[in-house]
Amino acid sequence: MDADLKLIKWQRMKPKGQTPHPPSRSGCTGVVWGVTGKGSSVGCMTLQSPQLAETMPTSAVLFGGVTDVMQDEESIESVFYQDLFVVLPMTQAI
Amino acid sequence: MATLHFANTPESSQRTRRRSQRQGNAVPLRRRIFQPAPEQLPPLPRLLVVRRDDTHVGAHRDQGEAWCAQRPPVSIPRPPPRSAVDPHYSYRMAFWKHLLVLFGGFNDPGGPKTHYLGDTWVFDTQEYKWTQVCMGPTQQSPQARSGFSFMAMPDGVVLHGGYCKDYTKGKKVQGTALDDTWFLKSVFKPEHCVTEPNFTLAAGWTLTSS
Repeated sequence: MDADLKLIKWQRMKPKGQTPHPPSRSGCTGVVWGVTGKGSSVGCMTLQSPQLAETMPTSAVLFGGVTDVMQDEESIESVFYQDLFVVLPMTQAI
Repeated sequence: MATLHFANTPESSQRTRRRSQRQGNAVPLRRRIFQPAPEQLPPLPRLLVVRRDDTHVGAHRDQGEAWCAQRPPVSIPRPPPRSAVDPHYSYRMAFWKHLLVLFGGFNDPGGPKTHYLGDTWVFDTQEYKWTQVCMGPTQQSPQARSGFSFMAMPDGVVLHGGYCKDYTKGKKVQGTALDDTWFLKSVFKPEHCVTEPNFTLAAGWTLTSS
């Protein structure tokens, strides 16, 4: 098994094209939404349509988060987000 | 320690010659290659170039010397890998296949500085063993952070966002929220695959509500 662990690598994912990219944030909660294997759904969302479950790629759903905005030396204002993003890992030829 | 084997031209300096005698294995050089005209030499008195094949090529301007040094393949001594995770807080974990993956977090020992962590650990549930992965200077890894999203997908683990504090000396300590996305995966090459799979992953963001 040790040999396999050496093959684990991090890879930076870059946003593709002009798709909206969530502003920098921390503390956003994400779940996996999609299909693994034969139609079984993963995550907290239930797929209503079995046909959709067959074709829907596995994606990650992110909601919320917070960013601190420093007004001046004394005060920091926190911006809380209520938007929902879906990230789809896609293979992209170089 | 790495051993350098130097080869010198006869006019080389005493210092370099001593080094050559000490370490042996001299390789003769063709001086016409390594002794350019004085006006072509760089302004620095000594130039040392480390080539990709670990060959060191040097020149001394004042004394007109040239040398070539071959560094034999050496293994850099490293501390033995740790078998247990240091205390972490605000880290994230995800189950991927039979591995429990842990990344990041911070360690706040009570001083003025919070130690943000950027180490990746996996706990093998078949062997009941912690192993640190993606370590070493050549390994690409997300910067240290806490408060990020960490999700296990069928092919790997997605990491997004997070927070860390910048403790650059001379600057005011400032917390930064991050917006980069990373993917932890196994670059296992299947047997039937002749060439290395040459692809990268793109984060395709889809805005569904705002």
